[in-house]
Amino acid sequence: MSKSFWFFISLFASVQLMGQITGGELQEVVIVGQKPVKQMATTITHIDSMMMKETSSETFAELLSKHSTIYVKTYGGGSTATVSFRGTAASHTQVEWNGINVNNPMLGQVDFSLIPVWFVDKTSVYSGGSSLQEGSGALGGTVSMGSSVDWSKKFYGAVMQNIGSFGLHQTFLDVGGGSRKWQMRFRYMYDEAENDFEYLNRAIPPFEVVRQENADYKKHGGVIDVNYNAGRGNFLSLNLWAVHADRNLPTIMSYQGAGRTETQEDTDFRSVFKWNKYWGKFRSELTASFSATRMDYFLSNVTGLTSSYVNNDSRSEVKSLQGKYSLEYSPSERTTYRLLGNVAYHKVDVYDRKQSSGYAHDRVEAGLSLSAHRKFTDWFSGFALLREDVCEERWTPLMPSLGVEFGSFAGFSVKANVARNYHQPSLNDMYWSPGGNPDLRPEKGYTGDVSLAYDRRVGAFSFNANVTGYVSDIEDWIMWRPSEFRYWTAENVRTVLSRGVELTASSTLSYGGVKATVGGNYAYTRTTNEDSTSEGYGRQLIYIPEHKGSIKADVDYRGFYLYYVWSAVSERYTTESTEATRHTLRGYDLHDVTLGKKWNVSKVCAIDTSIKINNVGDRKYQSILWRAMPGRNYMFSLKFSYK
Amino acid sequence: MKKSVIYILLALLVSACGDDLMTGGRQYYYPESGVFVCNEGNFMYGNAALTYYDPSSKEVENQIFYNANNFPLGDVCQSMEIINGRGYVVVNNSGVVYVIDPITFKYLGKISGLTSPRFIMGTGSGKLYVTEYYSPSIKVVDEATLSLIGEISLPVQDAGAMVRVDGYVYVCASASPCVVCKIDASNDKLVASTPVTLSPNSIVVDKNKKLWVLSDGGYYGSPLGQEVAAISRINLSTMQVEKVLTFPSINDSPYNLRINGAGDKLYYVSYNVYAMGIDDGVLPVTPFVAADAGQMYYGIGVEPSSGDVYITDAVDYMQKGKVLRYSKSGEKIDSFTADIIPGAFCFKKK
Repeated sequence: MSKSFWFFISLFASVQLMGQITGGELQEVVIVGQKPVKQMATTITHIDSMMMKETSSETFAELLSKHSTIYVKTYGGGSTATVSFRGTAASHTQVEWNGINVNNPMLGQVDFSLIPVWFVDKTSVYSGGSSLQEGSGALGGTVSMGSSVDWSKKFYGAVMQNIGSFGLHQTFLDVGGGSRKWQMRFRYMYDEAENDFEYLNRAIPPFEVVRQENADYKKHGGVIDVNYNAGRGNFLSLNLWAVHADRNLPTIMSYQGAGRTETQEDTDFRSVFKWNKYWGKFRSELTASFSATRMDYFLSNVTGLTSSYVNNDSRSEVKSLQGKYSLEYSPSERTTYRLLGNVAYHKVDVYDRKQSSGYAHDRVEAGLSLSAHRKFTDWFSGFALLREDVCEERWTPLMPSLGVEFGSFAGFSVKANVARNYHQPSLNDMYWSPGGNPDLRPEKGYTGDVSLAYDRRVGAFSFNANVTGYVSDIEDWIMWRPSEFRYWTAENVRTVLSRGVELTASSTLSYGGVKATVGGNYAYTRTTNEDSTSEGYGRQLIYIPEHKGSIKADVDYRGFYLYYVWSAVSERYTTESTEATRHTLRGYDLHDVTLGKKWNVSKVCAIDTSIKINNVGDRKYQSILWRAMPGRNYMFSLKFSYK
Repeated sequence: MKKSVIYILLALLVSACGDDLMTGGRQYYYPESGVFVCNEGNFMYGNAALTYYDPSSKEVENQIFYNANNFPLGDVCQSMEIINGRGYVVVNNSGVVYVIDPITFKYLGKISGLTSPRFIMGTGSGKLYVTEYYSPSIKVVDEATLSLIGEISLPVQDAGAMVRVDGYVYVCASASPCVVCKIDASNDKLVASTPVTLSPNSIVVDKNKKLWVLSDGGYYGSPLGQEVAAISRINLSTMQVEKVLTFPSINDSPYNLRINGAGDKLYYVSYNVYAMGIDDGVLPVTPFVAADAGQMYYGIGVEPSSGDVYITDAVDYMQKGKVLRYSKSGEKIDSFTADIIPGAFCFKKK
């Protein structure tokens, strides 16, 4: 047995252990296998089940914000949340659900506030060039999430009801079961809040404590997973996703006008069909997907006592068909070759009834990659990958990616990665009327990272840590700037250099009846405009904090549990200015605590109650300039589960 | 639940009392003539700002509103006027006009509850007119109480720039059909309206009491269509368009027509800054101040007494913009950094 084998055994074991001890969710011992050769030398972070459980009633905006090095920019309380990964733009993070890209091809990005953690079982984060293994375009990285299946369960279910401050009501349902041949699962969520929190408005005179208005939302949706084991190494699955969100958008804190109504309604439907086949030294995976997204946006302004003016009444519809095929061939335990092909057809239709403007466009894109992964010796492995894309009949240059991994030596291992990647402009960037620019080139990124991992397990104590340094050079970064006609237009204008350090660490201790996990992450991000002819040369890009980090601690004692997360973000510029200005957002830190107790009523039934306090210190802060955020708030949760 | 809300409320109240509220602002004192620069800021960012420039000492003060008052100016500062010794700062997307002391920059009051204010003008009789986007009317405000006291219905919405001549206010509206409206300021009645070419954006009056209107012609793909940009001259007594100077290319999109204090020289921005005499008869070909390649100027203002021309360069619209100061003969006098997207100017006379 190699050392790296034990390294991964312990790594996974610690994750599983944490899942078992504190939450009691993962009762079954998952058989830990050796890390597949194709994951060697790849920078992947798995968000563990404990972190998923802690945020199970929240969305990916909160999950990533608290438990990853990714920075989340949010309008707060159920509103739009986008991310910046390694100092890049929101569109530079690719998001996959069950292997299919779910970035909105119109906007290029994902609203993470529309992804409930409840609907997801596993999450992996591919950083930098490692993301090329699944597809192109992720100049920052890829967040990959999906459902998992447990063939051993006959019947299981859970119901959770939450009540919280500011009119929060949430209902979650999870029911599933089947046989060793069939497994079905249905999950549902209903989430609504008035969001009418009080805050001190320092943006308008006189300074008063006011109640947030027009920030209420309603979200509901469901996920269905069907898995079929057809025998002889054939596995079929169907995953369906439907989420509807109806949101009122509050005004900026300085607004004092006659009245404004702004609403957004999102409907996302996704379906993924998958056929996995294993035979001999081969593994093939065929994925087909259809998705449809609709977004309605409405804005009107009160113009008189009885009159109002509708500014926008728009509907954006996106339909996508995607196919993906992966074939792996492993001539030996030490070598894997992989061929990955994908094709996508996107159709976008945007129309504003009020403005009588919009556009309709469709796009075909395809890509093909070939990779070889090899474990040369017990302590040295690597991969080489080559990818080619074509988008709307334009070929992008070749995208190579290389990685090596050394270790483990006394618990230490080292990984290095380099890649060139391209990100296609979104359909809005190219065709929005007015301002879309059909002549845009794809954004080009060169990226490299080196990471050092340490893993140690002594008796009941385990510790792992990872430090990664990266550099990314992005050229032809797309920005919207005013044109001579004073509407804004998209251009390939910017060169950006992003570099930084990511640090994650976690340790677990079980002693007596007490199980404790302490962990944390930290990201240093320096991302600057590198166009020497520009006035903004050398300046940190806006809304990207230099420092971001969190510390979490989980303690479990005889069913009583305590989760604690302390997350902090440093100041952010909202304009490209080297010096702090009055527009600079101050750094902030938030403490979130959950206290709970789980009773095992019988061998199969359990009741779990908890109280969660968010923003314990009642911190007044802004994530986005002059957007109010809630102070201390509470949530009471009651969960009944059957396994 | 209720308790938690009460606790939060209490906590907020306590912290509110402990803060140095609006009283702790910076003490400015600029009694001499000077220039206010309205920095629009980015739409929906709430980062508008006021800059003050002293032309004699060339001293620049940025963020004067925030510094003096301890609260931000708001979202998109469109314009500023000094009326009867008070400064009126129009903050478009905040739906408010702030009233400040033009010497100390201290907040004096506000006109709130507006829809989307763009420009303000005094009528000379205790009333103020405010033009707004979206609204098919001009709001009438009582100068003493700053409350809305009425509105003047227009045949078209998106009323914009105004000038006042002999008790009448002339306003151009950029929505279709594009017109210049004449309003009797004594009774707030619409007297006449005259059609002009597509998308008028600025209006001035010359020494002969002729009205000049600059229309940018819209843009390709606009719901209103596109036509060639033009400057029209209107006879005030007949309200007839007497003269139309059309721009050579459909791609010309001029804006910000200004006039000097003597009322005989027009200025506008079209990438570069151009100047022309009111009797020139043709549009100028050579710029008054040429922009660098790939750059374009944004705002412009002409100081009435000296004739100095102030030009703004919004750079990339994300960082602090620049203001350039030229003499009336086109010599560069000074340049300084203002704030995000410097657009409009307001000249304070001692």
